[in-house]
Amino acid sequence: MDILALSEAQHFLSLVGPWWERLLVLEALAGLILLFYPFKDKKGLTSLGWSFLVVTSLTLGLGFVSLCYLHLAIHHSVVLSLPAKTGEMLNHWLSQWSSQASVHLPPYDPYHPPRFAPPPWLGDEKYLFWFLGYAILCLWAWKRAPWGLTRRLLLALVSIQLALLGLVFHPLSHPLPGFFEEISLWWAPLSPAQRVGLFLKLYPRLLFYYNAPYMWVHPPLLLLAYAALEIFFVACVSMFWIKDLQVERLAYVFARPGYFSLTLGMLLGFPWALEAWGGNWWWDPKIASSLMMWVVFSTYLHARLYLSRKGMWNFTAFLGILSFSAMLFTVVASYLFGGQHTVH
Amino acid sequence: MKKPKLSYDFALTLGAVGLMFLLSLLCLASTFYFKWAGLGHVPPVEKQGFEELFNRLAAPVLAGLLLVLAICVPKRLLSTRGLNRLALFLGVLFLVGWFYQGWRLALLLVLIPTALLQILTLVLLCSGKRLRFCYEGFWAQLGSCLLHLGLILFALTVLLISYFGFWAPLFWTSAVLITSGLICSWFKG
Repeated sequence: MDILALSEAQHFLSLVGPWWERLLVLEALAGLILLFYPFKDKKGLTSLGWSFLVVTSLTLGLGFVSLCYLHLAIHHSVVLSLPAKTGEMLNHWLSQWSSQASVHLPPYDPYHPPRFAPPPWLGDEKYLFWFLGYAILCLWAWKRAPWGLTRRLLLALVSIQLALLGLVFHPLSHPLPGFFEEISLWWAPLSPAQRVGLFLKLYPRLLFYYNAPYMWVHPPLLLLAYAALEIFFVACVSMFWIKDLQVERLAYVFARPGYFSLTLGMLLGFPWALEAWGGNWWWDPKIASSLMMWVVFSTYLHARLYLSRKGMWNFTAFLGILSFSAMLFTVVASYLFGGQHTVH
Repeated sequence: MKKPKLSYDFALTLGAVGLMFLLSLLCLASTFYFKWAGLGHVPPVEKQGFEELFNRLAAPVLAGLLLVLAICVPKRLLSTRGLNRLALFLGVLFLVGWFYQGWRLALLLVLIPTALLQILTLVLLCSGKRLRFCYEGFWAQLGSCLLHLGLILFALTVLLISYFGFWAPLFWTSAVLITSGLICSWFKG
């Protein structure tokens, strides 16, 4: 097995990761300074804020490319290959087991042994993908939001996210701790029986989680929805101070792709959940809280139809803020409430 | 921005908003209940009571939403009096189903006529008949029809999944309808 490529990628990230994370913390501080600096005219915040967002997007983009490099190395190196005789034994056992079990595991192919292909939004990596999406969407929102308050709120969220990536999540300096812990035993000296046992533990994880086709669409759609929801939230907060139809329009412009991406992402999670977990998950905390977020978001879209009625302006803005709060609750639910999506 | 013309429409929208808010509160309550009852690490069999409880609690709210939808959809076809009678009929159907065989049958009895009405609206819209909608533009109206029909079919999929293993065609139809509905109403409308 060629694990040289993986070792090189891990070495590269262990060198680059800490510096990249320090840079993020510095950028977060720069964002805070921009946030509170009393600019004398609009141009100062406009041009400096724009440059800050470009630099931030590039930094996050480079971090994401580095993660993709690691994932390519994983795909190249982490292969569940077995000796020919062990593979035959395993296939015999699998054919017997599959006839009795409800979940079907495909037979082991010695010419094309199972190879890990995890997408670059596993574990804490998802925050990098999400925050990169937000930074890029901010570039789009910046020109559409000529108000100082809205722009400062956009910058505040960018700064918070940069600080979280640099100080809490460490996606580059400590990438995929759960994954590496899971596969580390594969390289240890094992007896044939132990190797088959480990194979049978890793193989379903590879099929139904790491390499699942849904893994490539369900999480990124939701993460992009979260990014759009943040800008939608900023616009909704602004609506309480800026009574301008343009700010409401900004909220709606980002609510549309956010809702589209959220709905599609949640829908595509349905067949995956049935495939991987069977039918017993409908009131799982993460799923119930996601459903709550979607329902509150739908409530906003319905209320918005009557925006011109008395009191509906503030009510729709409030519903927008509630949607964002529901999103935060959904994210936190994975850590606090347990269930199928639990992080720990 | 267009001023709303019908207060009946506004009342229905507020009703839908209230019911959706109630459903979201129920979801929130379920997450706390899950944690409080320590259901994170118990076998699936032990979670059945919890699931059944929240299914039972959610069923009337879902039925309420469907009734609002059942009124919203044919309001493009019927008069206000006709709409009220239809809502009353569906409400009675729901209650009869509930007493006869529980929430599953009750929801099914409301879902099927709602789906049929939505299909009828879709066919009439596509055949060029002018129907009353809150907003103008063919694509936006088509999007609304497709989206709501998709949501009804998705609810049917969830309901029927415990009876039939053959869920995939219904689910993928609902997914295509919801996706195309969103595209039509927002990106073309």
